[in-house]
Amino acid sequence: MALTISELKDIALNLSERLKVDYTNFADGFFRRRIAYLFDKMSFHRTQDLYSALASLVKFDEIAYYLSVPQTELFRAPAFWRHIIKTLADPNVKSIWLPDLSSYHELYSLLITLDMAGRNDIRVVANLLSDKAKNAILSLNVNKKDEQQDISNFQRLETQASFDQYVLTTPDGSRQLRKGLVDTVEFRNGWFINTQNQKFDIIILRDTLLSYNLKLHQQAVAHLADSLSRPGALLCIGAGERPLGSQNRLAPDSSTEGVYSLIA
Amino acid sequence: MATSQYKAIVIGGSAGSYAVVSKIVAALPPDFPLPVIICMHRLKHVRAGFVEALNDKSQLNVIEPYDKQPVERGNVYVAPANYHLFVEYDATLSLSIEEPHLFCRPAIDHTLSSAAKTWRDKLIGIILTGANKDGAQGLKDIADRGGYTIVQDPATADVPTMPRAALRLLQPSATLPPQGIIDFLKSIR
Repeated sequence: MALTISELKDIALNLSERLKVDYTNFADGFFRRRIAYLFDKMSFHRTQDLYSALASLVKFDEIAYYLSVPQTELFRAPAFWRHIIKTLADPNVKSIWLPDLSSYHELYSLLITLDMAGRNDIRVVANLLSDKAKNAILSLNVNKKDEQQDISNFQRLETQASFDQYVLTTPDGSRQLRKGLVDTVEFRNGWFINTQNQKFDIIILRDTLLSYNLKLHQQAVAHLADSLSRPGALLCIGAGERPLGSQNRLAPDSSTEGVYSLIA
Repeated sequence: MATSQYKAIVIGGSAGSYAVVSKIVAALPPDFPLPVIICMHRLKHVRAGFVEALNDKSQLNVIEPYDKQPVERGNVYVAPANYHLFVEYDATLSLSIEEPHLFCRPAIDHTLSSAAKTWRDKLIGIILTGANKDGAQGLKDIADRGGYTIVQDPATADVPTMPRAALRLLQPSATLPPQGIIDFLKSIR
């Protein structure tokens, strides 16, 4: 169904109020597409269907789930993960934040990377907007359909480890992350921009800023820069993103796209 | 051709299109008056080398855009691997990792359709050789809004699936071989 601009504005206001995420400052084109996707996934035919669902606890969570864009592969952009493996050799790295987790891919990639680097001592904090996403992560299930891409990416990490050490076949033939890796992750509910007084040595938020308009993008990047623990701490965003509005605080890494370090 | 009536050119291609795109960007003069936006299906994991090779051949500035980058003449924008590329109403480019379309990311339909909404009849759309029907609907969207549409002659395509899919959906302004497309673009002043 084609929604008018005023209907979209109204939806953005309602969603913002209910989900505590500023959808009024999401990029127009993205928001229009995502609402169309949401309507399709949840079989909404009119805006009133959406508003009724917002009042239901179960459907409310599902709305938050479908509005986020999931990653679709483990170790997306292997060069980035090779960079993280090298960075983990630094003993000053003690904490990592995934501020907006929409699927298992970035978290599992990170946890496998930490294990390969022998850095299971690092504190990992992950923010999510929906219980459905969290439950999917805790199920440890890995989508078999995408496995060839996952394995291909893993092989490009050029490590001694094998993919099968971490993604195991269950008796029913499905694939799961090795048990135990997720156990130490601190999960938090809520939008990362609403968090305060947190500091991390590495922040990984790849391809989420694409959803925002320029104003919200700049607000988000400033908040992330404020959340870096020290000069040299890393902000990792998508290869197609730039830390607009905070370039004077964040220096790009010359070898890896999307990696920025906090300037002293 | 009167140029002032157009604001941009969008080109879509898949299998076999690199050679054609390569010739196109090599032929465009440094003072080419319109920005060019190219969406090609490409390997997900290959980020380095692709754009650099095109840039070496071109007198224009061939780049992979970053999200929210304004569209400007003198530049050829190539959709980055594994990202959709959209044109926004304010003539900026946006990237997205939303779901693949027809198994493709970047999807040509997304780039062409969004450009059609922004520039309407001020847009030139071109579909090249390819092994997928992605791009046909996007070109139709350009035609429906009065834009100028060109389909590579399927007889000259390495893989004719994409141009044939476009020809099934619309009657383009022109059906041309690669050299004809180049001659047309070079005639723009």
